[in-house]
Amino acid sequence: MLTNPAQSFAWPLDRAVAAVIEGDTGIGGLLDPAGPRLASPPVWSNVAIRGAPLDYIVIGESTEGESAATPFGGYARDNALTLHVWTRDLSKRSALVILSRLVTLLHRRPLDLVDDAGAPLRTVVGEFSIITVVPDPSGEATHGVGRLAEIVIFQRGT
Amino acid sequence: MARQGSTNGVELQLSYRNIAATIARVYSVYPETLAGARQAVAEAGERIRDRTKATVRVDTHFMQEHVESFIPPEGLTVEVGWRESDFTAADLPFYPIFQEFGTIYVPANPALSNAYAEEKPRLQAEVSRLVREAIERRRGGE
Repeated sequence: MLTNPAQSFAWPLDRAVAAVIEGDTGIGGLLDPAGPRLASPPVWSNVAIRGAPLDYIVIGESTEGESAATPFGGYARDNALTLHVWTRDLSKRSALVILSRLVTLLHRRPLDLVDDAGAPLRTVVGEFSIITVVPDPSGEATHGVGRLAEIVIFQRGT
Repeated sequence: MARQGSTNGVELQLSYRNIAATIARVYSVYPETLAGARQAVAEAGERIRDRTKATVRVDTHFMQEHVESFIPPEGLTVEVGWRESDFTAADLPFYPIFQEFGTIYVPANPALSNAYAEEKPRLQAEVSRLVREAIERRRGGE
């Protein structure tokens, strides 16, 4: 029996990934030293406010769909999430170094998720399927892109 | 896998490699398995192309009209995306990559990536079916 099938897991995933990144002290040392001095890296949702000081990370577009997996007889959804790294460094170096740290933190790593009611969700860990760096057309930033895919999030059956 | 040809964006495409090609080569002793893999890859490419056309952000229709799918001669890979040469010929910057990945002020509006994500499990299921049938035939002593 399903506990709560009418629920998206996309926002709980966003929150969990943001918590992992914000809780990592390692990324802070990788950010532009001329940028803001913060205990944790700036993490924005969807897009940063205009003029936000570089460097920062954006938790971007997400996709969610029905999953063929039914672990433990529960209810599962397949999710994917794209992370964007924006750096002042116009070479690829900073973006790739920060992306590498994100891979270390999130690739095939379990996530602590809770649903809208605060009940724990379980994850089958995701993998980074795309890593790329492109120059931003503004000429003022470099854009790193990492897509974390194949994240199966499920509730146990009751 | 998304592939970017250079920092100037020679091409933006998604290509199916590995799964269908590897499995089909393993079972190439069965011509029908190989033919099935080629057909599955080709149909997947068409669906990705059509889904991309249907969902890409439309302004001048240029991106919508120039999304292409290409199947190399071995037939076990399909590439879907945009060619920079089409944009250069029209005196346009190669901007699909900014639609797919966003810019510093505009969130991404991915059409190709989402179409690929939607199609991927279907192709995997089709390849699994082909492999299962080949194994069953082998067990049956064919």
